[in-house]
Parts: sequence; structure tokens; C-alpha cells
Amino acid sequence: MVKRTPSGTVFWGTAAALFLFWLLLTWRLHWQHLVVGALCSLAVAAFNRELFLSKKERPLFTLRTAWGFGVYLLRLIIAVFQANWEVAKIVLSRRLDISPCFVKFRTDLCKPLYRVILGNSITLTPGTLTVEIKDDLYVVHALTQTGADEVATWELAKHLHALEETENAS
Amino acid sequence: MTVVIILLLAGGIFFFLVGVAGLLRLPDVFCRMHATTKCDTLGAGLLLLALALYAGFPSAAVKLLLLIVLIWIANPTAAHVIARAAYLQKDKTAPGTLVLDRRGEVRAHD
Repeated sequence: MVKRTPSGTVFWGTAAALFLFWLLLTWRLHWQHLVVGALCSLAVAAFNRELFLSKKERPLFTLRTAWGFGVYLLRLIIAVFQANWEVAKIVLSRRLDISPCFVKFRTDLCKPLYRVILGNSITLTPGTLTVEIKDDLYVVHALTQTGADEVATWELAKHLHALEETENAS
Repeated sequence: MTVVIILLLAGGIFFFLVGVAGLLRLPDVFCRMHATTKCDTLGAGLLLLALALYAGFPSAAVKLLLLIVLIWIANPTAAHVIARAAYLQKDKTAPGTLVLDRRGEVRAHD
């Protein structure tokens, strides 16, 4: 593994984020909680120095990408509800109406982070399951053949692609 | 408020029930993964949301909502690992499982 020497700002930023997380979990502002939390977040940040993401790997965080991700999450939740309903109908129907299949398709997403998000979104949506990602090739298992046809040209994948474009442009 | 909480709990239990039914009825590993990932995402999500509403907003609700976020990230990752292991081991698939190759087709943004 390449030994990385992250800059001080990344270190302090990570520690601050961890401290915020600690505050959310304890939900108290007593000084003892604050001191222990600060010490712990500094220690965790120090121990995980080598795991910090480099600037190239980190997603660019702007108001536009944040808004785009918010919309994406909302659409994903709606899609999860719809797909859940579909799968529930299949499972509870008397004659299990399934046509399981593997579908292979390529993506035009470039960054690993976006590919992971797409893979996890596909798995999160019931009825489709990411089996393998190799470079830009996805192998997805679908419970029905219509589901498999839909996943290769998924609306949310296009949304992600547009998000990646805006990130590259800015 | 109580009505909303009861509805959410009922919904969560319903999806867990469907998940268990799917786990028992579906033929192979991959199909069963569909059923189990479903009960984790929506079932656990709705149950935790009901608990968050019941606990009242500040302290406990924040932790429960963080749990939902954790489950929604960890669950598909774990499901992917299991499915990938089964796929690479060439686990038995249900009879009639098709392989559709959509690699050659025009991509959405070309």
C-alpha cells in the first residue's frame, strides 16, 4: 500500500466530523463528555491517518452536488417503496410468478464512488441485486425479467450520470 | 401520532413477514437475497422510524435515524458480498435462470 501523508486540514476535518458524530450520540454538553469526545475523535483520526481519502478520491462538495444528492436520495426511497410493493406481491401470490435472470450491462459512470453508489442503489431496490462489478461491467440478478430490462436503462443511473457531469464541470 | 406510529410498526412487521415468506418460498440463493434485503431496508426502516417518533425528537430519535442510515448503507454492501461469493463459486441457480447480455446495446448517454 502506498504510504500517504495527508495534510493537516484533512486530519482536523476528520477529527471535527468525528466529534460532531460523538455529540449526536451523547447529546449532552457536560464538560466531561466534551473532553472525552475530543480526545477520542483525535485518537481515532490519528490511528486512521492512512485511510484518509486523497483529494482526487473525495467527491467535490458544493451546493449543487449536495442538492443533486438530496434529490437522488428522495427518488431512490420512492423507487425502493415501489419495488418493495412489487416484490411483496410476487412473494405472497399463490403461484410464485418469477423469471429469475442475470443481466450484464455496462455503465458510463467513471468514478469508483459513483459506481459503488449505483451498485448499492440497485441492491437496495428490491427485485434487483448487484452480483459483480468489474470496471464498467455490472452483473445484476433480477427476480423478474421485466425488472432486468428496467435496470439496464435505469432512470436513477441517468440521474447519477448527470450528477457526475456537474461535478466534473465545476 | 399514535395512529401514525402503529401504522409504521404494522408496515414494518408486514415487510419482515414478506421477507420471511420469500426466504422460505423462493428457489435459490440469489432469489432469497431479494427477499431478505427487502425486509432489512423497508422493514427495519419503518420500525426504526416508528421508534424514533415514539421516543420523541431530540436524543433518542437522532440515534435511531443514524441507525437507519447505517442499515441502508451496510445492508446492500453485505448483500452484494454474499451474492458475489455465491456467483463466483458458481452456486446452483434456479432452473430456467436466464442470462441476458445487454453489453452490446447503446448506452443511455452515448
